[in-house]
Amino acid sequence: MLVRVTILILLLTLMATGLTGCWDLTEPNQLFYIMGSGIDKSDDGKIELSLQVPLPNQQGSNQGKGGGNPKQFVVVSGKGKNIFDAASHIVEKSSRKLFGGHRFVVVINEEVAKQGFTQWLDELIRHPDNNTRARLFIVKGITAKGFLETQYKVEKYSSLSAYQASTLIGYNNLLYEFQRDINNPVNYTILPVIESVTNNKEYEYKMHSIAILNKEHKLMTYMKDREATSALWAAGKLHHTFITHYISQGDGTISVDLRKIQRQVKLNIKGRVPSIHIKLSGKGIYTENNTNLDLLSPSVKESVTKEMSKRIQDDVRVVFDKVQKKYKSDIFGFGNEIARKHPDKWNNFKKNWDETFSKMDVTVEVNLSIQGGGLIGSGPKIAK
Amino acid sequence: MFRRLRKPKMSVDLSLKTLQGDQSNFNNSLTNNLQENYHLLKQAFAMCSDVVFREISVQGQMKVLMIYTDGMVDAHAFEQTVLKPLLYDGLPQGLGKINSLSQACELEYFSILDTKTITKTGELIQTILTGQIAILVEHEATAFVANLKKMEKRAVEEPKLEATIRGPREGFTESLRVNTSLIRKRIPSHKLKMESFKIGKITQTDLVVTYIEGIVNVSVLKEVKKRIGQIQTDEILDSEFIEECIEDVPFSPFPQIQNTERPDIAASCLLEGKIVILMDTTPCVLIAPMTFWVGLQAADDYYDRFLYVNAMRIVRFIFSMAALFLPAFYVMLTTYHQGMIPQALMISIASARENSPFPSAIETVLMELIFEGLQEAGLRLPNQIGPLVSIVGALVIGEAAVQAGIISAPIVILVSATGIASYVIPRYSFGYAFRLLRFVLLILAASLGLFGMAVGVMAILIHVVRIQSFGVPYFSPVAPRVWKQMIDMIARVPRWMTNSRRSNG
Amino acid sequence: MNISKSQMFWMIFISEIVLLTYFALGPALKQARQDIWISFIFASVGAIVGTFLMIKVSLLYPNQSIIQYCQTILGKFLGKMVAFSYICFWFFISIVLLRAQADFISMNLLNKTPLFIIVLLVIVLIIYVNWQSGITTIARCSEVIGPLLFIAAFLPLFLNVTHMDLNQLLPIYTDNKRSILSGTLITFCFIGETSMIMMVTAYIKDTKKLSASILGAVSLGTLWGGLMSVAVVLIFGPKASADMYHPQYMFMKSISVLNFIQNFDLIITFFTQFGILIKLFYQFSISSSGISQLLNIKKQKNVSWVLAIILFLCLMMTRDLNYQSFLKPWIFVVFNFAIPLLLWTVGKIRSN
Repeated sequence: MLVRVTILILLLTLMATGLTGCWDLTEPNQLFYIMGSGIDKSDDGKIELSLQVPLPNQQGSNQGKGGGNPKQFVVVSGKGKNIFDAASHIVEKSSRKLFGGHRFVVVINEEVAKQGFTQWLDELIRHPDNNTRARLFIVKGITAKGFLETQYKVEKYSSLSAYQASTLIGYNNLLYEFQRDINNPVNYTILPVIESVTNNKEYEYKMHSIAILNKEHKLMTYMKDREATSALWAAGKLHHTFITHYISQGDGTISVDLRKIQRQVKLNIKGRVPSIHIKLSGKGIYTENNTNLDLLSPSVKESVTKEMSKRIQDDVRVVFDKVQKKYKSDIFGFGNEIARKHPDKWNNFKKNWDETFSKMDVTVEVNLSIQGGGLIGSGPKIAK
Repeated sequence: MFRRLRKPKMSVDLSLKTLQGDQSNFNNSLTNNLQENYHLLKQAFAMCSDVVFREISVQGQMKVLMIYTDGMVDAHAFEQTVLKPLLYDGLPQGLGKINSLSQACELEYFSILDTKTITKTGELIQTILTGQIAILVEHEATAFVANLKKMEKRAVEEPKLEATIRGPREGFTESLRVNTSLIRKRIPSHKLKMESFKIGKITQTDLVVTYIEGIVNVSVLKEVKKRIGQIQTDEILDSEFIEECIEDVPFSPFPQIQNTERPDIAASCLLEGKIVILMDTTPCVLIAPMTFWVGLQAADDYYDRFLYVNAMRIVRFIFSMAALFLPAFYVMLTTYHQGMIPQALMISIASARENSPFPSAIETVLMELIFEGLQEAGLRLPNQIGPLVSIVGALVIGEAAVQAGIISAPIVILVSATGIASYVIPRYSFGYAFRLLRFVLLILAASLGLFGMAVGVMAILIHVVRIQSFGVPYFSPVAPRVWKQMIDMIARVPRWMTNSRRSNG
Repeated sequence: MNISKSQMFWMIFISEIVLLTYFALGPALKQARQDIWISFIFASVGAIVGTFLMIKVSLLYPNQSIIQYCQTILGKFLGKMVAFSYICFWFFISIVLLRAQADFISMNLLNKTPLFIIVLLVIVLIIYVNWQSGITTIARCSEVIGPLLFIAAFLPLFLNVTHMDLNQLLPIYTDNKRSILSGTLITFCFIGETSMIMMVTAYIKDTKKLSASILGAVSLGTLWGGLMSVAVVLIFGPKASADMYHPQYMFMKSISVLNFIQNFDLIITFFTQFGILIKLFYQFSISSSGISQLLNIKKQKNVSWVLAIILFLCLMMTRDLNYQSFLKPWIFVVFNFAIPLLLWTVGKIRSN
């Protein structure tokens, strides 16, 4: 009885000492919630890390916009040999701990991208609090710190606006997807680009180009607008897109909104150089008709769709020629198909795949299936 | 861990043995001499001003002695049925004609239902004090006792804590006979047995153990009767005394015996095979055995439409769990695992906490304590001040504290939500456990985050799974799983779909 | 002490999921890469055979635990040796498990809390459970927690289908047969760890269709393991998955539903804590009841106290070891496959 009581008291005292601690307790207002991280190159070979964190004071109160739009965030930055080193220098300057669980974007300056940046992504994946769903961007025309510092017109934070815009344009790259892609047998990758356009002293951003990274994950080149769309589509990474083409039948332009986009690849590896037939398909609706054609009639729809498909096919053809001949980099993942489906043959091709790729015979077929054209057929007539 | 004996806590032994006067007399019989009896009883009832001695003289000598307790007998009926025959109608030739009172009973001389004769003094004293009228005559060593009890009792009204929207509105009262009649009228079967006990050396309270023979679980019944028989105490003033003495684990926050004030619940539990214990002087009856899930069922589950009842059960379950877990969850998420909360919400919470001087955990504990204090105050308030204080509480503590920057707004929302959630628990005494354990979980979550909360929940689960209520595991039918009962517990189906009776548990 | 078949089912299921989560997925993925599902199929065959042998042995002597029938089958001395080695094995598993849990919590959730607090709380819980009729309480708890863990384990698999790339599973079965084999061995170690059956079957009264329940639990757990590892490969690709310490933890982190519910890993961690506590409880319980049966000690409570103190001391003495160096696969193969096979054959021969 006495023994039991003693042991119980001992245990309870031990437990009580444990409960006095709360060692890991961090109040919510003792943290910096990182919205976006930016990686820049700084002088003397170091990198500069910038973090966009929200300012909590003006949130949640009922004040209206008092005299312009007060900035609701702060950008802290520090330099270091790697990300963690830079972050520790940031902590020296700040009053709160850093917390990366809510990160939206990771923005990488093109200078850093040109020298290879994948080693800096290690800390973002390793730390247990960090969020691997952050989206990667390459920023051009401005430093990453500059991008994070600008006050975007509509959204509170520029990182949030980049995040939401990337959903709209149909292509985005999450951190873990990027990691998956760089581990493929043929590891050319594509990243979206934020390009800054200075417009009357007010920064404006456009996301209309993509960046192509080579085998060592260094920035190689950019592609814009229609080329970018075609390249993404041929690589099978596009989610949805808007396409506008001049339709000769109606002597005007017609736009289509494609919601379901797919790519199918048929390999033919007889002989020394493989040949590939790509089938691109998309389902969508017509959104604007600047011709006099009546898009409600099935025959017109069919012919317009055929012509639209042909135009897209020409675009993709152009991209293929350019990529094969000029860049010789297999960004479309054909090598991955061979490595996965015919691993024994891949051993032969592995060594100089770039050369083989540039000589490959690629045929493209585009099949669009446009279901509807909105509420009206041909729209306001154009007088000729 | 069931305590069999409860030692009397009073050092003074107030049993009848040590009263002043002649000890031996109280165990003896009455004597033939009326004067002696009169003096003996007068001595026993010295200073008891509510015990009335009425002597009836016949021919100048005291011949009949009537003793009763004023306020407990029906005076009018007594006059009509006993005094009148004695004084006016019967005994035309004096008392000699009728040789004994018992003979008078046998001849049906007095039209009273419940009569008996007593010869022992101690017993006579006890019966006088329970509202019966004793009549002693000369030359007889027996007393004739008539039950003409009429005591003040409350009318049958709806119990306050167990109100329902639809369903009967009768509630038990403090009189044992009324209570048994309320049950008997719902189950007019001869298999409904009512065994009576008398507990308490001084209070001598009547106890009735009710069950339906053939449905009841015999081993549970045996256990209940055994434990009641082992209670040794001086006083029983409420059914809570009995509950403490016979439950399995007194140190558990969860009640193992259900209590109710509604006869329809008692009747339906009897039909399930449970045992109901009724007690005199209290409207609260006990029902054994009890499981955890009974605490989450309300009376009007069976009086409303079943689709609505099933939806309400889900809501009730979610809110009951919220009453237990919500503060701990909030503190854990905002101070240890901020990544779990979506970004916009987290920013709002963080900015609301900017101006607050206390750490999250301390604030939550403080507000919970204040809320509990408000609840307790609400119980004690006189009716006139009640609404005023609730307004004061809401406005002052809630609104002004937030405005002054002492408490942050999310905490006020949280505490009021938890408070409201704890009222969703249908059985009030079951809610005590949740309200107590909420604090334990809160402290564990505040000091050790997710792991602390997991340990706390596990400890509660182990405790709940381990205890038994009269041999029935507390967490059945979920933990020893009995599928049929579990489905019935989760989903109420209409009457015509159940063709077998819900059995024990 | 009475346990029902469904309680047994849930106990084994919880054990499978917990062991897979903490130990098996990471190293197995490292070896087998994208052919992990092949290793799972082979390992499950091995586990089912091993478990079946254990059930058969236990049913030969229905009301005796392994400590007792081991002595009957193999003779007093050899039987006691084997029984004692089993007890050491179970105790070793509880040490490793507690260490793994403490490490996981200490590294990922509570960085600054001293380790002994975590360990102490768990040991207090263990003593509380074993206070009276330990195994019945544990069985009932597992009946409550099992379905919750089932939902928490299977539901997230389907929440991230939009990001899965089916091509990551190809190429199937390239020439690295050795790596598939080592992946199989690692996986078998943990999904075959059902040796508690031999101790606990003595408490089951109704043994009809017992093997169906237990083998069903083993296959369900293995199914989850296979699906989870395939999902991890589909999301992250084989090279990145091989690099991970706790693959399913990373998988949960990648789920985002409606952009609102994110960072699911906390939910799975929460329920896995329960699972691992249950596994710890019954490993400890069978160790202590094993010792009390072996040495004929009446009061099991004293044995529990002593064992708990030993457990605490063992844990405090080990220094954050990479427990993978301690888990040699042959230990598991011997205890979960070879010895039941031996016992069954000798038992069959003896009874004929």
